[in-house]
Amino acid sequence: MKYFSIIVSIITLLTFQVNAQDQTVEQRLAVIMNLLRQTNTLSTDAKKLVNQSPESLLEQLAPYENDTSPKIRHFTYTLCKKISDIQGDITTRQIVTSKLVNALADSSPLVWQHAAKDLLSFHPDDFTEESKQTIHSYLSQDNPKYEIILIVGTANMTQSLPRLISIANDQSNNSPITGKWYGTSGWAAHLSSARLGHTDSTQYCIEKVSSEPNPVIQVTKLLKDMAYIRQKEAILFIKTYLDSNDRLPSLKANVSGTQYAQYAIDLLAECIINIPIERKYVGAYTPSEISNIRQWMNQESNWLNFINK
Amino acid sequence: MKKNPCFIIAFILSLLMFIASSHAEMSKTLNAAIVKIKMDTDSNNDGTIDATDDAQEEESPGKLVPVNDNDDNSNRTSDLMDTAVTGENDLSEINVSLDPEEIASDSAVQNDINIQLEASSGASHIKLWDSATKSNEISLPKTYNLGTDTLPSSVYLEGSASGETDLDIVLKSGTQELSSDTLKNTIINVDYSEDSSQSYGFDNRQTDALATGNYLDNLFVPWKSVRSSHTDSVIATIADSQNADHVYFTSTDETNVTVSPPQAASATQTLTINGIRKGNAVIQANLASENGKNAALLNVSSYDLVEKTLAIILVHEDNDDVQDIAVGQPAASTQTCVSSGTNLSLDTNPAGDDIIDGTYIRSGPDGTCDTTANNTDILSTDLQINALETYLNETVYNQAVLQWTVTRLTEKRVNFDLNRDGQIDVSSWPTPEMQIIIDECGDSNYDHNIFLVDHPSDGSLGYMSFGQRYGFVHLDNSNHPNNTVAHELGHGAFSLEHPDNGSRNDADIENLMHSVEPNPWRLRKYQWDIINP
Repeated sequence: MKYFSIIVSIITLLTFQVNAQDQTVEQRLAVIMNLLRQTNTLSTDAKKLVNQSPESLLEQLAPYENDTSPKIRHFTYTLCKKISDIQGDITTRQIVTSKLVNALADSSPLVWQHAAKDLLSFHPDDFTEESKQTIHSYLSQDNPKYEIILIVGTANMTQSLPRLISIANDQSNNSPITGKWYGTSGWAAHLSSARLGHTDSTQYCIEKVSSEPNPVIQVTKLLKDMAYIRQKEAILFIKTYLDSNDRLPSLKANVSGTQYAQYAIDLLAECIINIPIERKYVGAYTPSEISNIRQWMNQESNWLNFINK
Repeated sequence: MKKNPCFIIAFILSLLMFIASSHAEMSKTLNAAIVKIKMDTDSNNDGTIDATDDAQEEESPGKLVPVNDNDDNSNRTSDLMDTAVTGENDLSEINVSLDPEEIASDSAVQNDINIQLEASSGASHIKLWDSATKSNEISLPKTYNLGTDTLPSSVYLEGSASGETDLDIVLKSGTQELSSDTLKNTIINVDYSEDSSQSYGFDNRQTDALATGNYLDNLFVPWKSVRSSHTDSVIATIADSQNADHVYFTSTDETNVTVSPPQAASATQTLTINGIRKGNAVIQANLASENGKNAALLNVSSYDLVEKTLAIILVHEDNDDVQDIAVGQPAASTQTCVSSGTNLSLDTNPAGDDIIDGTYIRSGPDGTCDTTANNTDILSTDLQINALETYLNETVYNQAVLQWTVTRLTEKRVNFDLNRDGQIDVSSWPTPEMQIIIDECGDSNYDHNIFLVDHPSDGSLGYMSFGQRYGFVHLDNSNHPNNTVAHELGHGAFSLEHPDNGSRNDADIENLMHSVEPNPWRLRKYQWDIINP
């Protein structure tokens, strides 16, 4: 269903309602971008597929990567990410990750923050050596960005582990200078190190999340961080929330708060390739689905070999 | 002439008696002239009490003293209302001395000596204490009899309200004033407040209803937010106004935050707060110099900008059933009166004795079609996207240095009303009806989606569970549509709880996340940190 909706989305984005058959992709993109630029509106009325190769589409989008409007640049990179989701060959994905890595240097937080977020959904093979070198150069700077640190783990850049551990062990990076401890570069470095297999960091993260007193933050924010780690111990930690019958505080009179297990199963569906459930979203999992996955994880130890890295 | 020896002796005795008598009188007079009572304080405000203060002690402004309205012992009670304040550092030391000091223990005269402390002007501006940490108050006027009382060597002046005061000390023998001294003090109050044209946030919540202790380290210090590499403004209000130029502003960490101007020029001084980089600093308002006594603090958090994307999708209930046989017309039993339209879903409730059969309504035993086909969409209420984006970015989430890019996606007609009651079922998170909308209208390309859908089953304004991409807003019930969207995003995007009925139990009626108050918009420091960690 999700895949279908992505396809529909890209179809509708790259088509247009007026004289669509007579317009080139370049013209249609221009219309879409102008509408977005001028009215904050995205047309999704069109019905026809633009039958183009991903390389061609990416080429058509390239000029918009340098648009003066951050909104247009952001949208451009978002389309690139969608193209890689749909046209999922390794070449396309590497082209897209290269573009997104370049976008990390964009001056607009809208652009670079979302590019960084998109990069977290790729696999290590999707990053070229050149991209990894660029990421490592960012990591080597003073006070590297939180988002950059996480990408290092996603790209499985084990050669950067010493730098990550250095950042993680610097106490000044672990105390929130403002904000929360889970917004620090030290925390990101622990997460990234853990993802690269540094067991001390994994243990540190588990203990740190366990000590968070606010259950809403713990369940809705920090479990996602644990899912990022993609290591057995972290997944077992998430499993404890799957097995819990506790609920978050209620937001409506007469409506129970959401079960912790809803958040856990949603993350486990992302982290474990052979888990027998399709990822939906928090709240959409039925009691029987939760029960079945609890049972499956208790009985099926093979999932350890199917962690989605 | 022969002198009479007796006369001579008598003369000498008389002379001796006269001398003795005169000496006693002369002694008393001398004492009155040389005994002095004196008070000393840091009248020139250079940080020390010394001889250089004497020339300033009766001149305005004299010693500059802050109003003691902070909370040095962090017990959530203003120090003005508190006693025995551990860590108190806002009182002004006054040294008291007698010259010669031996007179205080001279049993021949001490019973006649009284020393009185009083405020000859501005008594309501100060309190006097026997220690720097407010152990015992010295009520004015206060008289010390040296025969029965011990004259303290130091007393401590606390500023309680802005204005000038003259503190007098008088030494008397009986009713005769022998010596006196006066100290001029000027009490200055500085308050930081929100500039109505500010770009980011200001949190001055002084709550008394917090059940949990994680609000602020120091209750009476407000917080200001600012974006790193950007500036914002705040107001410093200074009383007594004629002494505004004695107030200096400084940042405790200029690598994070700076402030300008360094010295106040008026009683209502607009300060420019410059966020240098992500981090905290305290803006001090100090008296007399940038290193002088502190009169007010302002915590400042400089945040990096976070950007989020939001899609707004207007969703209508799609009703397109077809009237196959007109109402009231005869129909054979089980003949189709109404059938589903192109959405392939039955949108009509049967009337009379008509019955539902899959996606059809068929006539009942009375042989007549009783049901009118429902082919009228149930429309939802829209909002202005640009106005929403402005509200989110200039009224609400700017407080936490977060910005939304809002995009309107094309409105949708969806057949979500499974039970054909004309409402969207919002009785749990999420109901099957809500899931239909999410599945058909959701766009995971955006950080968050808000579906505008009218007619909720419970009359609520909106629903977005913690940490969700998707949320629902029912503008037919909302008088403040932008505020309702902002509130639901607080739950879904940032996992913010209701302050009034969540774990905080804080009746913060101005808070965006209040569960029932209409149109509150403020975010507090603890929420800034969650939104922008």
